[in-house]
Amino acid sequence: MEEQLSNLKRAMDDTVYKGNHFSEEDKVKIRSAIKHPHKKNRLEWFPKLLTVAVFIGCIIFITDLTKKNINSSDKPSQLEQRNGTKTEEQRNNEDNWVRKTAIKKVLEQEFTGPDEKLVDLLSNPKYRTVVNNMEENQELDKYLAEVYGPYFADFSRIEAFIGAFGGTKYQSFAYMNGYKLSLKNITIEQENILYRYTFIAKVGYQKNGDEEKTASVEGEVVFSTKEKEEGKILGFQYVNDNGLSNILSSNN
Amino acid sequence: MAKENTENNHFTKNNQDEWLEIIMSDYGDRLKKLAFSYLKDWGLAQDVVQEVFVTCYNQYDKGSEIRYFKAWIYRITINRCKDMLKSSFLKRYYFNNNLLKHFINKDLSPEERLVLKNEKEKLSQTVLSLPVKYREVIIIFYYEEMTITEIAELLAINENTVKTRLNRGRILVKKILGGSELYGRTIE
Repeated sequence: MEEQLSNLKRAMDDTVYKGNHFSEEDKVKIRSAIKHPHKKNRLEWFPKLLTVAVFIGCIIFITDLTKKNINSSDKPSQLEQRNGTKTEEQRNNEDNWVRKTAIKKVLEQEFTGPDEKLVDLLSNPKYRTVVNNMEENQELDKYLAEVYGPYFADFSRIEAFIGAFGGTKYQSFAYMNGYKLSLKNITIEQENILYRYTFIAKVGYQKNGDEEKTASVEGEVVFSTKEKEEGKILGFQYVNDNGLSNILSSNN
Repeated sequence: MAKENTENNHFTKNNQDEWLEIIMSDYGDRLKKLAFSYLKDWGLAQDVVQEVFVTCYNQYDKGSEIRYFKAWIYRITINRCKDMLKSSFLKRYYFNNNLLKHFINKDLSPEERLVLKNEKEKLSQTVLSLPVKYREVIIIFYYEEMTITEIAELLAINENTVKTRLNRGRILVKKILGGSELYGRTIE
């Protein structure tokens, strides 16, 4: 082994370097490269091209990703629509909006008028018929279904509202005693129990061209929790009208 | 090794094309082998040699400024090889080749195994397997038969560094080959 490294030249020439590795073909390639300098060596352009391609790809990818992030943060609802899912908070907000709209519509019907058609249906005996010893008023039912139906869970809830909790009474009193009603303002609060709401309606009333006065009518509303009846009222009642029904029902 | 007194004549004789033919004949094979010792691939070695000769051709006008042509052409070859070794492309190339070798070696025929056992082959492969900084001094010293001073100048490093690398290179070869004495040629 002593002489091995000093024999490296012979060892390499006999093995890995064996033969002539610089052929006439190699010379031709070199002459051609000199004559056509624009033809770059493959090793020169390939890594550069690859690097540039990867770099551009990364830029496009990052830009695309950033755009998506900006869009998603600005318009969460759009993202939801794309994904087809909603967050709990967004569902609650939507439900809240639907319920408050229902309360507002019912109060508008209750305190705008008097609604002469309603009062006529309520008071005129010609609409009443007796079937199986039971008095019926199909026209009234039809009208009630039309004006209150979209906001109540079913017709029995409307009947309960009118029969037991003072629904339409302000219209009747106002008509009988010549008052005009107008809804000025509504404040609606959601209770701790998410399907219970309270409201305060500021109602304007006026008679014979006198100065218009206002009264606050307070009440509470309970909504259905059933999926099919989402946003529909189960119970609607007046709690305190601060004397408005007394005023409207009085002849003075 | 004695300096070639007439080596700078490469730039003074003949016209540019004839001169290219001369240096290709004189240095083509030597430079390709030198490049192979760095890159361990004949295709890449050819690419380097081609670039070197193109550079030479383009520098023909500055020929008179080059004192020792052999040292100059060796230096640009080595530098180009080192540039290539640094490039990520080559690293990938090596990686793939080494992977390939790994799979191929698993299925060596008995004849091939016998060839590898050959002492000369073993020595050559051992030297080529060294890290570049030891491999280059070992090959330039033992194969190209340059002196320590010439190597220091060629690689632009200190003479003592050349000696240290030579010694460490020898130790590595010894370890790999499992031999005890490898000092065939003295340093000084």
